[in-house]
Amino acid sequence: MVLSTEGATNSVEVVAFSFLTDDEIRRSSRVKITNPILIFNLSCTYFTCLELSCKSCGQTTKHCPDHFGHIELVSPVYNPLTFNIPSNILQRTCFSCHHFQSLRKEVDIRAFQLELIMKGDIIMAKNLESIITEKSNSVLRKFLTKKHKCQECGAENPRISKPTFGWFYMVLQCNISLGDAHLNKSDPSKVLSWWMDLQQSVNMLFDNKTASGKRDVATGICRLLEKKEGIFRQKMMGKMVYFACRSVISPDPYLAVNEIGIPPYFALRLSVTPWNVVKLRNAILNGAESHPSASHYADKVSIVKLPPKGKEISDHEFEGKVVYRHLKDGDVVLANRQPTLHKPSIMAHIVRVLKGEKTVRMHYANCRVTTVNNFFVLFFPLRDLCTYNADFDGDEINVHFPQDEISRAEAYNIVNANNQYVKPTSGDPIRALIQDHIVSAALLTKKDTFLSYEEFNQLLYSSGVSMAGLGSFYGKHGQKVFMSNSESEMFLALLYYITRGSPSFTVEKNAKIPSNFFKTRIRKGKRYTQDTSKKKEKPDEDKLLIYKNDLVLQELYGSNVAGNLLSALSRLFTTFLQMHGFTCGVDDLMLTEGKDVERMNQLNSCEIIGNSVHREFIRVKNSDNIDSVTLQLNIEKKIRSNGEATLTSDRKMTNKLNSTTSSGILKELLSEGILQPSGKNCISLMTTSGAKGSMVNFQQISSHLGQQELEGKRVPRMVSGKTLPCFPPWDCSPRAGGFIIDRFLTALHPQEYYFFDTAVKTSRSGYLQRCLMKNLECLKVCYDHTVRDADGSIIQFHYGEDGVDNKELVYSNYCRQLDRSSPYINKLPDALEGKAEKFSKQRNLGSMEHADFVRLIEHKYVSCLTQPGEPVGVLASQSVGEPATQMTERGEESSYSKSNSKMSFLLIVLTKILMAAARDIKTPFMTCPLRHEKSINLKKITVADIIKSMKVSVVPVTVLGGQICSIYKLVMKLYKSKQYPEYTDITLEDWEETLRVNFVRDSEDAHDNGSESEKKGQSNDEDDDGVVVEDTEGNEDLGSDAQKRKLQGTDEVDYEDGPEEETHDEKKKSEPTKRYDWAIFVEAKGMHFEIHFRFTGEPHILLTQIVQRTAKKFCLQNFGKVGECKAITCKESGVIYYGKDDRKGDEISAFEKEEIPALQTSGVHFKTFWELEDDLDVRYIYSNNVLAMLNAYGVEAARETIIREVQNLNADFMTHSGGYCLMNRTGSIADSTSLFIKMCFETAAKFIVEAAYHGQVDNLETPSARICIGLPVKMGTGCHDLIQKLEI
Amino acid sequence: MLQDRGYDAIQHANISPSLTEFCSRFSQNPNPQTLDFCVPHLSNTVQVVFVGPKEIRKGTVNEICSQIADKGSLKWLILVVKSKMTSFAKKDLENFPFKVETIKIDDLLVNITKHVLQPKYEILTDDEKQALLTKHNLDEKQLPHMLKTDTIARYYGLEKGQVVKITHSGPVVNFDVSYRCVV
Repeated sequence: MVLSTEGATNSVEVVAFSFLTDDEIRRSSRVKITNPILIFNLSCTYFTCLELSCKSCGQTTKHCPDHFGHIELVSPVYNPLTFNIPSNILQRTCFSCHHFQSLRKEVDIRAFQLELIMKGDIIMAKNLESIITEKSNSVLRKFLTKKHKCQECGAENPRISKPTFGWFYMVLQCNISLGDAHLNKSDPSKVLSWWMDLQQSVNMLFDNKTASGKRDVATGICRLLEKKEGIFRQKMMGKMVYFACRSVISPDPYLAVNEIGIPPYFALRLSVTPWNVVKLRNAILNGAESHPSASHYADKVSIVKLPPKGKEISDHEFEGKVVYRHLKDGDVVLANRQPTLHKPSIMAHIVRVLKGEKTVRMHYANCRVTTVNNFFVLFFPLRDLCTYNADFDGDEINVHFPQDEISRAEAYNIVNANNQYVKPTSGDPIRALIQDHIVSAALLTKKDTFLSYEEFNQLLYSSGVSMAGLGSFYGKHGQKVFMSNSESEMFLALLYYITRGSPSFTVEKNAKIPSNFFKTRIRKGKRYTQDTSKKKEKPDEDKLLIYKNDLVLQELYGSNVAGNLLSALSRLFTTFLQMHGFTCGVDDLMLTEGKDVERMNQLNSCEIIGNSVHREFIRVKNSDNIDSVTLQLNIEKKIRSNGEATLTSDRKMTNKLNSTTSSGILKELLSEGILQPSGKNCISLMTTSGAKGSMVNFQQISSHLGQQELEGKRVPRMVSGKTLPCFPPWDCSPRAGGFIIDRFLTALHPQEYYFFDTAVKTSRSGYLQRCLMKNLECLKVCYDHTVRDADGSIIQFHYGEDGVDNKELVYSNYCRQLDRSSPYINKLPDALEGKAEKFSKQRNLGSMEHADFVRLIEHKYVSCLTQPGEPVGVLASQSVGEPATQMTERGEESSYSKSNSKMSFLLIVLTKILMAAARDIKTPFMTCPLRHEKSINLKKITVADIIKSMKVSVVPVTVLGGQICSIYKLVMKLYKSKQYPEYTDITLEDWEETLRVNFVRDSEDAHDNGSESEKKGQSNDEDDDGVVVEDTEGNEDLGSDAQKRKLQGTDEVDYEDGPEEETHDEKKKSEPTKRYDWAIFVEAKGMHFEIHFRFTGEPHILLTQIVQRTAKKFCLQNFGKVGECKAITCKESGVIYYGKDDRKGDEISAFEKEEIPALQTSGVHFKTFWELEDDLDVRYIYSNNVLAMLNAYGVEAARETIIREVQNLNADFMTHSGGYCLMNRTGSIADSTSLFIKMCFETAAKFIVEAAYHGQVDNLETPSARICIGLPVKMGTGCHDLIQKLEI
Repeated sequence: MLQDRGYDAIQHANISPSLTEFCSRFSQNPNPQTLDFCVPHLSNTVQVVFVGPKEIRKGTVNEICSQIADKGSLKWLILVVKSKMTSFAKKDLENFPFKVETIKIDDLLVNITKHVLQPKYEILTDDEKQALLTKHNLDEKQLPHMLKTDTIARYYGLEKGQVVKITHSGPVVNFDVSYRCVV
């Protein structure tokens, strides 16, 4: 990046890919390599030499970029990367008639098409035989489909194998050996052998993964290109950055929020070239070791480093020189902390060189922040957000000193830290004060805080303002006066100074600390105030007034004023805390004695919950007397037989425990029961104000830890039924399942330490973000407010539907006017105009006319429009990837691990929708609201669900109808109807009829399948005595009957009618085959069901297993793929409901939604819901299966589904080609117009070969392509150029 | 669906009745032959034929073709089918002088354009399409795409190259307009 005095005369416009011909290679090569020994005796190689200048290009050794050589291969060999192409052509060629396997006429047509396409006449090529082609690729692809026989002569080709079995040295060695073999006219088999070796060496040279044989050689060329360490991602996409440093960071609250402290070690080495001749001359004379001065100067010949101390330089040439001066105060540098998750991860800071320091220092506001109270809410309402996502436990940060004027101007005005208050993706503020500043603010703003004259002045002075701003002081000089409401005076003075010269404002907003926190103190404060000052009481501390909006200061006065206020407040609170002090003691953690006893009693009552929940779990009434051993055995039986039962019991237990611990004494324990009252309790002050920790931490210290979760569930049981070895198996107490009633204050029981889960799931959010970034990096806003791709394709016609950028300010755009002549945006959006009218009516703006207000809103809207060139695709991918990575890191901090399960689930959802949208997703669901007064159930119901018990008895030998046979009696008892699952609407008559006919039929079919397998063993008995022979004959007859019955069973599958019609048909069919029935007696009476089977000469049968298997498969009710169905309300997040008139789109209140029932199913089958149109409001059918929505409702509905699940711009991008395009290397990346994007993403070698094979061209429109070539990106400020005015 | 396409279907006897009237006239299992009808629209006519529940073979297609009277003015044929169609029958359909469209009867159970997630669709004329391309300085291939096999494209009978104007309603703006080109 050394500035050059020569201007560039050429620039790269286009990059084209193709293969080099032999002549081209020879012309560009410098030497023909024939000797395998590459290092000569004189330390010279073919490539470099110790001579002063290169013979080829005449440059010095340092500047010579090295040159190519070439190896002349004695015999031709295949390129393994492109070997598939001739192999495909060869497979479609007939070896007999030496022509393509297709008809000759068809070949001529294809050739003609290709010629037309090369001439550019696409239309004629299309019309030829009505074949639609847009590229020559598709013509070839269709033509080369595989055929078994030649259509000309019908001959078949022999099979063609593709063996691919190097390295530079090996290639050379084999080539020489092959040449020797040719010269000696050796045996042809030897020549062939050497030729094969040469081919294998070439294969190894290119890609040693596909080549067979040797495995332990160095990596091939393909490996050099691929993956994170490859040439593309490390060398071409990654750049060496000069004028940079990196160090550990430390906090410094006395710096301004947009300043950065640089140690002298770096300041002496970072330099820049300004244009002040006098300063530059003095800088040189000072020497490199004095700061500020210069470190180097350069001319055309060399770069001279200045000596440490000032010396008279003897260089008297008058040629122009470039002087590099030191970094000094007021310069601007770029700072970056990895991982770079979002835009504020790189910010520009103003430099302050701090003597005596060794680390990079910065203000707390650039790092993690938490919520704040009172006056901070006035200016900076906050969430748990951050810019650098750094703390000061050893994190390092990179600093870069931009060199040219454009970069420095951009750093001062755009990337400046003060401009990074708002997160670009969501508009939330991300910079504020933290921790001790919060505590200090809370203390300073209490009503009982009084300041003397000297203290007041000291605080104001320390916050960086002069006393000239004071206008509201009433006391006499020299006399100590206690003033009430000092905080108001303090902030007013500060605000007057910071916003001088600008109009004032009024703000109202609720504070974070609840009003009851200061309940007792208010009473005391009143008395105290009356005694001392007798002034009227002002509004409560928990109420503040804010007019306009949350970011009022930044909005009205600009980012720099907001930054100044933040810096001033930081210094103010630091100084106040130094005066006042703040500390925590054990008193702050203790509870009053009475409350503590109540706490223990209530927590002990949680033990009883375990028993009742488990009784309910195994369906035992509470009145029944059951001992603990039987209870445990039943629990074990239930859990082992049904895997889902564990989840059910976990959910019940957790709900009961949570409701118990959230009620009673525990609810108000931390506000009413602590020994130190709220106003004086330092722990409570910290947690309530948001300075550090939260109520959860306080509760764990003073009350109880509560339920611990591993992977989002209660502690799982081992095979033995225990959760830990110290508990009995199948223990039903909450303690065994991870519920801890102890607290940190009085220690835990030892075994409970093993419940903590600090493992964090391996996260794939990094890869997710990279896929998103590569897919979306080309999207930007154009001058007509559309969002376009690199090739000009429109993705969105208005960015975010309204074209608004959430970080534009009124302050900096007050000169813009709404251009009504513009054809793109010439008026307010309708919804915004409606809201403006509603607002003006409510607020009763007496001093402003309605027309003026509307004009003000128009002005606001225009000033917030997104700037052309904004890279919105990058913002969209960051908004998805950054929270995922943040949650990954946060998950390590706490074993209170509900966040872990939520994080894992979110990653699964994102990956499912964006990258791996399979046809069958794992958790599909479908929802639909019911019509008024309707209800319905959809669920598979099998016979097994209603069977209570089953018993089989056997009469081994009896005589019936003249035959010796066995009779099996099956007796089943069924549950009473009221014990059926609640969702079934089956009546007694339904199951009687169904069981009587169909169930018996299926049982017999199952038995036939079983008995046929038994017959395979019969052949060994054929040689036995005559009695066995007779039995065999009988078996054969029964076998033929079984065949007929199978056919009959198969016919039954075709019936889709209801049970009644099925029964009717069944009766007809059963009559002619009645003599083959094995069931001789069927009785269905009440809850009793009995079947008698008669078998002749059959081996012993396990009838119970057969019937059980049939019972599970046989369904009384079934609806396609729908598995489960449950009744929910429209309040659930998966349900769409807008009332009777869906065109309005108005939001229904949550209370109203709760009154309306809805269905939710697992599994997606739209026809089922469509057929129930009389009961369901089918306008609101919704599913999270995007592909199913695409197939049923079209691409726009699929887009809306993606928006509901993810985001707006991603949805438009994934559906803009008409289908559902994935964001991975086989999805939209493969269709990208930029070749460099594909190469930089994955499988670089594959895309290079494809580009060269087709002669493709990259127009260098995408950021990846331009970075690879080393050009500025055509986005943001790169959209424009500066042109020098030349006078010739 | 025909009304949404712009055909003059309001007064037609087979389309206007409510469900109860329809059932009383045709009974629960109507004969497919009695449901055929023609609908005029501007300069062309569309014929709707309901095919029986058997498998559709080559002979069936020829039979349907022979039954159609007044072929000269017919531009469009819609077959409402219940079961599969053999590949030979599909080839024969391509040789008809008018355009043939095949719809499964299951897809007509519910009007998919009434769904709440569906925006409003309008088909642009050629003049409107050219104005749009000129305004945004676009080629046809630079517009967002909608596949010809898309459910909405089949519902409106769209051809390749036609442009659809799509109007969304949302909380941010009341109307958000975008366009898609059928490919």
